[in-house]
Amino acid sequence: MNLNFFNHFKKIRLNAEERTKIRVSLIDYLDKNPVRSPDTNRHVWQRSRIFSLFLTRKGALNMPALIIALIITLSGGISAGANNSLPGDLLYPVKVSINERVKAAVAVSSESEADLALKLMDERLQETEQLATKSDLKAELVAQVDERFTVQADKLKDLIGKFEAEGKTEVVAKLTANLSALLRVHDQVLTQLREKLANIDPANIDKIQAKIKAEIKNADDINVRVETRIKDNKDDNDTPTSTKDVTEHPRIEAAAKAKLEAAQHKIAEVDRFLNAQKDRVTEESWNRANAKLGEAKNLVAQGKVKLEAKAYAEAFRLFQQAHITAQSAKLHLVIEHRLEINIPDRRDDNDRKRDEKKEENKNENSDEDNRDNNDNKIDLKLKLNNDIKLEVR
Amino acid sequence: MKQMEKEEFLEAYENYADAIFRYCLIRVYDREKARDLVQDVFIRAWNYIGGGRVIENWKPFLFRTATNLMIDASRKKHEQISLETLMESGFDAGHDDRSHVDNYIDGQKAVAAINDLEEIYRLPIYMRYVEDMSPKDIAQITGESENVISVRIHRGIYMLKKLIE
Repeated sequence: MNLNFFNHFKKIRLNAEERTKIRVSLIDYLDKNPVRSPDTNRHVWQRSRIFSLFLTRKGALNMPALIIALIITLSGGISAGANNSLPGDLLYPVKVSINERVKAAVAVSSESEADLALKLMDERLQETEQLATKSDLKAELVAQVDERFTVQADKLKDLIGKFEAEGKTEVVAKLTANLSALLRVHDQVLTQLREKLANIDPANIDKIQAKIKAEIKNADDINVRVETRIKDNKDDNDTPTSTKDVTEHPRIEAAAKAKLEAAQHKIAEVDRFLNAQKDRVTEESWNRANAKLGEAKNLVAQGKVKLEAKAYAEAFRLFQQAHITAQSAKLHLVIEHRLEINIPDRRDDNDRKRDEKKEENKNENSDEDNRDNNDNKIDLKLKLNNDIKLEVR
Repeated sequence: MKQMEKEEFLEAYENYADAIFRYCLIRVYDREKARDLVQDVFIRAWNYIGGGRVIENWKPFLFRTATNLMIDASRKKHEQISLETLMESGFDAGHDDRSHVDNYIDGQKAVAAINDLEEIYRLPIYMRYVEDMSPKDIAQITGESENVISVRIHRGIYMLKKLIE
């Protein structure tokens, strides 16, 4: 085969014009579509593993999975659902072992830890009350709640002890005020429930109440200790002379003034709360709470008089009382609304007088309830209402 | 980096544009279509580089791309063009050497002869003798083994000789 044959093919070529034309259009294409620099990152669209749960292999949406996901999302998720669960419910373990641990992990300072413990104590008591209204208060559930309540109560005690040791009297005063209010209100609620609910074993309620009363006593003890400390001004100076003339110690004055401020804050907070809730609760409940708040304001006014007279220890005690009273007003309203019951205010004048005597008779047995407002009637509905979330501050 | 790739690409165009054009022309028998195919082949090559890949051996790559493009085109449009149609449409094998009538006739003969070969022989013969490709490169383009290509070249030459004689 001679090469000439194939050379005929080799003569086939683009003419100059064709060649240039193609070249120009190629250069144009090159400029419009530059080669990607290997230095820049390539953002490749990749489906995340979680997202791929909702997609089929072909990339279409997997409807059943999506619907389930939507239900979970719209309902706020399992943990949100668990927040309203009660002992014995399926989700209750999620509430106490996951949600509450998460909250504990978020509470970084000792003070927020103490607030959380207080809040959780309240949760446990509210759970008990809800179970009672549902006639579901069984011994084993009571034992469960009791155990968890004790854990939080001990934690709070430890923290209060720590604050006392650190000399944070104001924090201790605030915590005990809130604790006292909380315990007393729940004690009253449980008393009412025991009287009105025939189908629950009173022994179960008694058990919880005994626990509450023990804690009330403990809170009172701390309160007395705080008041004594303010009075004796132990923080400032341990010399015997310092106890005699309290007016010369600016530290007592500062403590009383700080407490005044705290009480005023609390009253303002409860005031706002009451106004916000006005349309959501019964007029009766609201009026009662408002009257209680008025009581707290009155205590503040009395305290101010004492402050003027430089009786700082007495002023402190009154402000602390005002704080407790204001907090109770709020708690009453919250719990009444939540359980849809009317709790008559049994903290009548006798009770207050008893408080005033407390200084003299510190070991008074607070368990004896001389409340006798039989006129007050309880309207109990077995419907729960979780609209209001309680915040203890 | 970008500039380097562009230069490399344009160099490949200068070196192989004619070969690809020829290759396309003897298969589509249409100068204009062959021109478009050349452009498409190089655009594909550029896109390939643009995807972050490297063309190590340009010639086989371009031929393979051209082959694929023509297969795609023929799938889309079943066009059977005879040599007569090709001649009528002004196909001129020896465009640059028209003045030499002998050469022109030889060229026509060459095209006719090679087109009479079976496809499996035609391409290896063409690539081996017109484009001076190694059996290895041809094997890469056609997807056959190097050995098969060598055998086909050998047999094809034998057939071609017979056709011309």
